[in-house]
Amino acid sequence: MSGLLSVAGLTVHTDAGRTIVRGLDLTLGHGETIGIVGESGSGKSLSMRALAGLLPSGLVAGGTVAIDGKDRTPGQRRALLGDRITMMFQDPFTMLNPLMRVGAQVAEGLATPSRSAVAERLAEVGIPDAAVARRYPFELSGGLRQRVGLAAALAGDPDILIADEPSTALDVTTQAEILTLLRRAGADRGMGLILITHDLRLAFSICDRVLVLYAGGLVEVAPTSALRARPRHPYTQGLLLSEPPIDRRLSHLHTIPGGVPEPDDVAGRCSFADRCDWAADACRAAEPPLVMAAPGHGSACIRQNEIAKDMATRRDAHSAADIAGEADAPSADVLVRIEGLAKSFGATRVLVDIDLDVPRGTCVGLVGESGSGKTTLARCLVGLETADAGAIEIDGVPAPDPARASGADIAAFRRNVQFVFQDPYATLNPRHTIRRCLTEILRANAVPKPHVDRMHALMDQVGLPVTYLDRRPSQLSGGERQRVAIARALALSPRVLICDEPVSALDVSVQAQILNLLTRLVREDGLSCLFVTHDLSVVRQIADHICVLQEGRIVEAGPTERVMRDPQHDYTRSLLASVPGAVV
Amino acid sequence: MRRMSPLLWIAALCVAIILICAAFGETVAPQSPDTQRLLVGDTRPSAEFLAGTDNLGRDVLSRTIVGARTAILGPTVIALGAFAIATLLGLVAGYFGGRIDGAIMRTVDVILALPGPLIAIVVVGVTGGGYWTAVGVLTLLFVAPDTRIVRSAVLAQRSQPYIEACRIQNIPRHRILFVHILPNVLPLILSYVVLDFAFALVNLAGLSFLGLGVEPGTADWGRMLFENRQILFTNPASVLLPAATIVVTAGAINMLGDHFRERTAP
Repeated sequence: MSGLLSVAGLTVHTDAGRTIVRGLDLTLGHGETIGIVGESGSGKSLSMRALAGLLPSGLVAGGTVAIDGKDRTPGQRRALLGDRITMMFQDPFTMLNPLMRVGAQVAEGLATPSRSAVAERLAEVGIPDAAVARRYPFELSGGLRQRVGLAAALAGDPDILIADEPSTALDVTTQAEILTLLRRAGADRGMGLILITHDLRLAFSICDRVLVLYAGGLVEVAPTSALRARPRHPYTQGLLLSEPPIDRRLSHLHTIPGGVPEPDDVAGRCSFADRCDWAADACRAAEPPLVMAAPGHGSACIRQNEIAKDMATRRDAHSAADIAGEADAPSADVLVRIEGLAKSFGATRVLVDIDLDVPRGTCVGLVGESGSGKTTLARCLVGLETADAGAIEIDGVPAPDPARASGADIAAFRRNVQFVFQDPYATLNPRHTIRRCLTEILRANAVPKPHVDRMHALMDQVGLPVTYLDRRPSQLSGGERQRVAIARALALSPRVLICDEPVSALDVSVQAQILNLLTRLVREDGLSCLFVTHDLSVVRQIADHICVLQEGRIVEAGPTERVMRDPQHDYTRSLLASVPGAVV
Repeated sequence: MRRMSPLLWIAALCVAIILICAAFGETVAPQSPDTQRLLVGDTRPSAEFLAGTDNLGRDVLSRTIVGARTAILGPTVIALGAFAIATLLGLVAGYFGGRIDGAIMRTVDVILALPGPLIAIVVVGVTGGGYWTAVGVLTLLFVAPDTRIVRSAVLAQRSQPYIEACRIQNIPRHRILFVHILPNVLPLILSYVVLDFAFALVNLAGLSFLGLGVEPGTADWGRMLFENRQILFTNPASVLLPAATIVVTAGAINMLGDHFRERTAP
């Protein structure tokens, strides 16, 4: 494979000297697709921006980048942008100029723009309808916008395309299409494709080689098949095992304890040592170099040979055993009953005649893509939205009508149903400590004193040390904030917890911790839960029953195992088929 | 955190000097500001009168120093008063929405549609004027745009999950408004208070210039511009010094306000 791009010792620092990327080596050949995989804070996006000469101000890049065997300075790399190198970003909406017709945006990159050339480029990304060229970005769906973005990126016939989470903002069904397109565009043109993603499974589905980044450094690089079957770095293995599998349900998900550190905090030693089960004194003595164990397969673990066997045993144990039993037959004891619920925003019907039951002590998964109405349904349950028609009943008590019911009735109803929000960063008041937040709730609801014992019990229930009570949200990681949010929701001892995408904003390793916590609350503490998500592999791990929502209607409902194994509705089948790495 | 540039330090120094003048004007001033020297008349700057004298022989520098008081006091009252009222209105309009919001915001729209300075001139003129009348009228006029700013900030907070969580958890409304929303919009509000101050300073000086602000004879920058315009060519400093202090004070405070707003922005 001819060397199109080769990078040596790429670093990114802030002006103040804080390290973000510690030194990255990579090569990319014509027609090759590589994946840069890492959690938030791994430096994956910034290192690739440095590569393209596109660092935001305040950041400085170091190291050498050679394109076609010639060293290029950051300024020279930026000059190659649009021509030799192109970037494609996560948000398909901000990537396109909202005031320009999409045809014009594709034409900008073409050497000889013409209407037919634009139509040809759009057809190439799966938009056969030439009329789309005359539309504005806001007239297109997210998937179509991302296709136009790809067409615009490819218009200059670049040699290197850097795609930064190109499918993360899209629904699963569209996600798969965009990835296929990317892969094909790379192969057809002999273009080098760099895919930046947080999702190992997604990288496996289209990449030839995968580079795993952790705390600003490269910990493992390997061909896809080798990395999937025999990871040689404990972090990679941890990530792989933390991924909730789509094909079965585990009674307990593998987790990596703790969170991703700052690169400077782990300088001069193995960055993963504090979270690693195999860490020895030697790991903390020096920064381990990337050692090639097999052709093309390197790992920055000094004990990789000693522990290889151990790691394999653990992988086998993980894939063999531990499959959770089928849920019991749905109990007749219904806790939450929803009948004929309907809701419209203006002329748009968001929910149409929804019937849904949550049996006591179970978790019901509500699955749907964006726009399916799943969040609106969840918000109706806690009174953040008011339904137009239909009835909601919790434990035999009908939801009070906000216009007519007394404040005391509404308050009493709300104590029984609590909510966990998606965004861990906006879910807590940034100015209040956890103690203040919990005290306020207990006081407002006249929970008898002493509150301290209750708060300690809550922290214990969500697995946080009681010393965290005096922290502010800014001192907590995303996963810890979500634990606090769960503790807050549990403070009033609700009968049912409504979770709206509680893990979708979290990193994979942290996601598993929260899922285990919620599973434990349902299994052991007898909590009932309505879990709203777009992610089928997540719902498989946690829900006893699944309801699939499409355009405001429930198209399929049933026990999780049955629905996943034997989907009856076409829509459920297409959802299942589009999960990256799914066996269809 | 952004570091302060040298220019910002100079601005802060200017504001500090003006504040000292406003507080201890008579003590700091080299001469008594109101002593008339009719025999001296208007003179150019000299060793005794560093900025010369006006046509009644009063020391221009001392009058400018003492004039800082009306220049600081009125705008402070206007900026703080307008924002106290606007914060209350904006919180209520933004959080409760519906009819209350409609009533408040349509009134605001009407006030904004009126030509502000003209209204001030008419009202102050008809009621016979006076410094505090001018301050009162300007305060009311400033409430309108400020209410809009507060309301939009409240709207942005209102839909945040942490506020929705409060609602679900039966936190009383007054606590949501004053314990959760207000502290989170306060930094933004305070930075606008500073900007309001600068506008109010210029507006008040304008009214004084038109003879509608302070009483004749008071040492006030706007009034000095009005009184000394006839001697512009005999003692230019008598006009240029108060004019420069208005510009410098408004500019310096504006710069500081901008700086603080940027620092509080996410």
